[in-house]
Amino acid sequence: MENNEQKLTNFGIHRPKETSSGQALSEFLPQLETYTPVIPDAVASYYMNASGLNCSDPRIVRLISIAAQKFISDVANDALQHCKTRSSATQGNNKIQKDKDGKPIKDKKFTLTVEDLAPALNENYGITVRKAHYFV
Amino acid sequence: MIQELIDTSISDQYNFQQLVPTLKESLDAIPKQISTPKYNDKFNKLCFIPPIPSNFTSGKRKEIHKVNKTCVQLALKKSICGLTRLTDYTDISESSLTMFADSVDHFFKSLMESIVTILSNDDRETETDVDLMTFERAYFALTGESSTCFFNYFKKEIFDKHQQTVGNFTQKVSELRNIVESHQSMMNEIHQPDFYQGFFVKEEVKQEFDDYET
Repeated sequence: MENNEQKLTNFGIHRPKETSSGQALSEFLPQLETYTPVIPDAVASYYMNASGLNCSDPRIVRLISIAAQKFISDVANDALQHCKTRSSATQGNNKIQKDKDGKPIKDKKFTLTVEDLAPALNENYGITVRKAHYFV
Repeated sequence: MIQELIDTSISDQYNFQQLVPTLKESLDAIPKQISTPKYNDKFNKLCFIPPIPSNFTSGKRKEIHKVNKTCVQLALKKSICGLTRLTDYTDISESSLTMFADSVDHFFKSLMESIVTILSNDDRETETDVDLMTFERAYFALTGESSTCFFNYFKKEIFDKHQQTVGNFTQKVSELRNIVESHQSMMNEIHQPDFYQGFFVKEEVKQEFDDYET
């Protein structure tokens, strides 16, 4: 029903829904006062001071901390997807991991490795990482 | 040509009068959907939260402890471990942790570099204070997305996840409380003086006991 209505309003042309990218920062900033980011403000202020910038406004410092936190969680999520696809490709779809007694293992363990991290960093943020020559 | 058009308009298949409503009809016949509006649950209520003025909201300077490079590296590694644990990772290798910390360091430096570049492009090289607009432009230049996405990240990844975790925790606590209460009630029943008598002591023996007492 909804699809028919959508087709009528769009005149049969596929138009993607308009999704809001977010709320206004001025409304968002007061909410950050009570939130303590995982990356401390001292770390963000260290990098600001190192590049000759003044960290007088605590809101900007908090925003930089959250930007770095978002970067870490985005990269970790991408790496997890890589890890899952890689493990499913190696094991096969039909095979289920079983323990010594023959029971299927419910809680699967995921380990973050360089193999998953490198493509996650390269795809979204263009950070190319390689091992040093003497490790190759 | 004109005659054909007139013929088609007058024909039974194509009622011309229905397509062109008169002025009276358009004024009197109000559609039912407009006269009786229905409010669905899909529409969220508008609510306005007045901001409480504080030192943070007004952007007053706050003293932040200064840390050195080694402390920063340790803090980054610790926060990386915590955030990767939140994304269902159970282990992390030492080399990938070092690489991740280096990439976050690179991200910080790139962000600062783009802020400095924007300040110099606007002929504000002497200024050292970063405002919101400069940060927004720098972040957009670096990642290609606006910093308004932080709200979605904050709401979906942090707030909703925390609420879910707290909800699971409270559910488990309530289950545990129910188990403890049932255990407590069972123990109370067991410790009552008549509890064992009903099961184990025969009526004859009980009567003998009562006779002995009297």
